[in-house]
Amino acid sequence: MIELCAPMAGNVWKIQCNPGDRVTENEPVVILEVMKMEAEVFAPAPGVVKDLRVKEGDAVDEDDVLVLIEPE
Amino acid sequence: MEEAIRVFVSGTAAVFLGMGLVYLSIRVVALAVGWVTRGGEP
Amino acid sequence: MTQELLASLGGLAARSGFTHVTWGHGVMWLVAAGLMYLAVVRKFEPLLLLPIAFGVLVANLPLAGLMEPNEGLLWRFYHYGIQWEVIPPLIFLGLGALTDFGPLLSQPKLIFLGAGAQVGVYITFFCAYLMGFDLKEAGTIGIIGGADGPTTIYLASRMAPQMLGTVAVAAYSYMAMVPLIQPPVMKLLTTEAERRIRMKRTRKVHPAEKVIFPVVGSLMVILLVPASAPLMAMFMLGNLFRESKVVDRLTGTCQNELLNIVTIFLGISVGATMSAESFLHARVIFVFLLGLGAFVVSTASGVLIAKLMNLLSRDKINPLLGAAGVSAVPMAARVVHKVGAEADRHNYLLMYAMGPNIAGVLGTLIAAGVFLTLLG
Repeated sequence: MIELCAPMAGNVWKIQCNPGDRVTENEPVVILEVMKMEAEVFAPAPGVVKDLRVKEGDAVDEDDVLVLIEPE
Repeated sequence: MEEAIRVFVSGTAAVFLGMGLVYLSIRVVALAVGWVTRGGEP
Repeated sequence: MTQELLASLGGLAARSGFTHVTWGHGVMWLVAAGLMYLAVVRKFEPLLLLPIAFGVLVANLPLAGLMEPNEGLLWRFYHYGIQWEVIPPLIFLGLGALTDFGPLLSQPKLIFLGAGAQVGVYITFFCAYLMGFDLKEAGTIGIIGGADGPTTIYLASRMAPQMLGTVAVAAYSYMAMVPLIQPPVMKLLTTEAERRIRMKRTRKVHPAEKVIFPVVGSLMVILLVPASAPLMAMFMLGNLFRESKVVDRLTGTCQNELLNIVTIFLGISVGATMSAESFLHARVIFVFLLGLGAFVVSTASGVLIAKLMNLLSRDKINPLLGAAGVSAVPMAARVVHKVGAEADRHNYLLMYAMGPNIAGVLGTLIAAGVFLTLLG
């Protein structure tokens, strides 16, 4: 199971996937907002989204888990 | 012209010196806080 | 009866502004309109450019006397706020309360990128001097490259008040254009490989460091360059309020109400100094050109210092971070992040870039203090 972690502290702006979705490598999964700038967080490998640990609007710190992905 | 050169050189030097002092103070403060929080030096 | 009536109307007409409008006024109205367009439509630094634009407009209305010494409303704002050097330090009080020094404290060597970017200030100073500006004016033009509005205004009010409006408009306009100005310079001076450099994880900063730093840091800078004291002391007081976490009411006021109020007075006073007589000279074009050059050279010197540091140390810094030494906070940091992400989309440089970005503010303060000490 891959834990997709926040690369920087910020706010979760958009979640681009739902549990059960298949994602490809480098597909933007979550968009964070940091200091009024959007930063995409990419899936590190192809897989299936298992769980969303955050919801839109949450504040996250660096290394907080955002999404769990089961690699294929 | 000499004065302009003097301002250029001493100004650049002052900026680096000042930033160097701030750099040192950051390192020293970090060290000191690290000692104190580990219950070490008073 | 009709004769007196006509005479009275004639008297009113002679005292109305309409009969005293000159071409100079008209040009300044266009300038005001242009600045309003930039502020409202293009969203260039609207918090400053909108009141500046309006100040330009109303100060160039004949007979209104808003800038009449000792009497005009705007003159009073300008005199007691800027000439008495009260407003820029208060802006710094607010900025200090907004600033998080964490990114700088966690990787202190980035402070030298903030120093490197100031070299551009001095190069521009020298070029301005060679182009015929006197030393004080050249210094004021040079500090535009520091990309710090309040410092630019403070220095201009002390050294070259006749250029105050011009350098302020130049500084804020170019700050808003940083996403256009910086990337070409950054890409010209770095290789793709350098742009992909990932920064190492930085250490966690203890909250006590963030409280002690404003005190110790301002001590060092003010002792070295006492002329920087008014701005530096207020900057650090605001930061101390914020990091102590025991005066949240005061911090909140500094960040919001105080900063907003002072920004309003700053903008309108600065704009009001731009009378037709002071602004409509050929030299103004050179000020704008040199100001643009200042931003370009400061970006370049910041990036080059980073590359120099990479030659001297094993831990490589991404040289793009040097561009964040141009202290347009946080725009330059965002630009660094974007250019870095273009080279490697998994590279998140934003927080690393905030370190030099904030260091640049300190660097510009020191540079301004030096100009005041040597030339003021």
